Amino acid sequence: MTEKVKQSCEFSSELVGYLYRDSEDAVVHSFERHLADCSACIDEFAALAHSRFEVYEWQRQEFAPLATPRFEVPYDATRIGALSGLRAIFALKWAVPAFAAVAVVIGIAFLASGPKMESVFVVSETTPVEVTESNPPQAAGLELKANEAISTAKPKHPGDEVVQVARPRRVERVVAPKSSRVNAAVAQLPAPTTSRAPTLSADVEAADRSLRLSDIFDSDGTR
Amino acid sequence: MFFNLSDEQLVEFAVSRDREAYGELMRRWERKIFALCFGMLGREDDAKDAAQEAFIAAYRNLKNFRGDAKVSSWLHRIAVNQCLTIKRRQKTRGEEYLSNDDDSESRTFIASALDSPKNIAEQDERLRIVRRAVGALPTELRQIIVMKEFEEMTFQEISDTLDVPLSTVKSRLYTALKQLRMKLERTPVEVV
Repeated sequence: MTEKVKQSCEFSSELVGYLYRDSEDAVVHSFERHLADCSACIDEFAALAHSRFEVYEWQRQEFAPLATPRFEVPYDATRIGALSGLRAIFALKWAVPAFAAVAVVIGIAFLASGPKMESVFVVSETTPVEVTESNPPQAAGLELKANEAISTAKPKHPGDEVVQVARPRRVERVVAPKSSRVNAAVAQLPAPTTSRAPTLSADVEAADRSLRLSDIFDSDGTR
Repeated sequence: MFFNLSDEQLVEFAVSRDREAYGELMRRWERKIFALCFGMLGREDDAKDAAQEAFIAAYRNLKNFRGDAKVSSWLHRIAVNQCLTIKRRQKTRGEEYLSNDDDSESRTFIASALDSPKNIAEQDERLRIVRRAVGALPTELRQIIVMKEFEEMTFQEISDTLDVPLSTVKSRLYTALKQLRMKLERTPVEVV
């Protein structure tokens, strides 16, 4: 009787699982039934079993008899430095992409909002000050109250008026008396803009104010 | 005298009750048959019993060997059947061992004692060859072998640790064992 030997068998994928007894019981039983009849699988299994057995012997004779060494960590002398801590954080798989994403979001938010600096200048009632482009509030001797939000800046004295002054890349509020010539001078300055597209340099922008939309609007009176 | 004969020629001699011929056949295949039984049964004692029974059964059935398959395949099949029989017996008897048939005739076929100096030297040489063969495997294959044999991890645990699919773990282990086999066959054990 000639044996039919299959070159490749559909059960061959179960060989390794069966060899290491790492398969479900149902798979084991069906493979054993198959093994009794399939010469190809028997020979294949024998080859794998032999290789596996050699490794097993090596492990048993060279490694297994070794006593487990005792490891001691000098905990008191071992401190985790900031650098080591950082390294440990960045060693995590998600850390670098997460930090990169946060940096990108912050960068986009910064570019989209544009820089703002608001300064509040207080002008004394008795000291009229002319504020022009060439005579900025600070040069005019106005007291600068930096970084106060527009909504919170309030006139100190009843007669004072809070006026917004447009500056290159900055919006400033000037608190000045209503009757002072500051108002007139300030009114001539371009209207403030809350957001501005990034520019190459402040010097270029200051030199060529005609590029600003607000200038265009003011000049033709459409605003 | 029988060292240079093929397996088939040894079988022919053994059929005519030449015990030396069958002894030589056993010496050639005892380790592999033992490995096969160990692979099927998972325990050394059971594997020894199964291999012993397989060689006895093979000797009794020598005349049934027709030569249409390799001697190794024939021996493998006998060993597999013995292992399956033992498993069925263990299952029905609740993991009891085989009864000790004190067949003195069969005992004469047991190969030379394991603790002879020659065997010890062979063993050392074999370990050295295996160590080198495993070391020569690609990292991803060696990793699987070590995790399975040294750390005794399950396939699922290896899959989770290496973050690869379960099928990839089994496939890599299969490839590793095949490559090991090729390396071991290319480097026979030689004891000076």
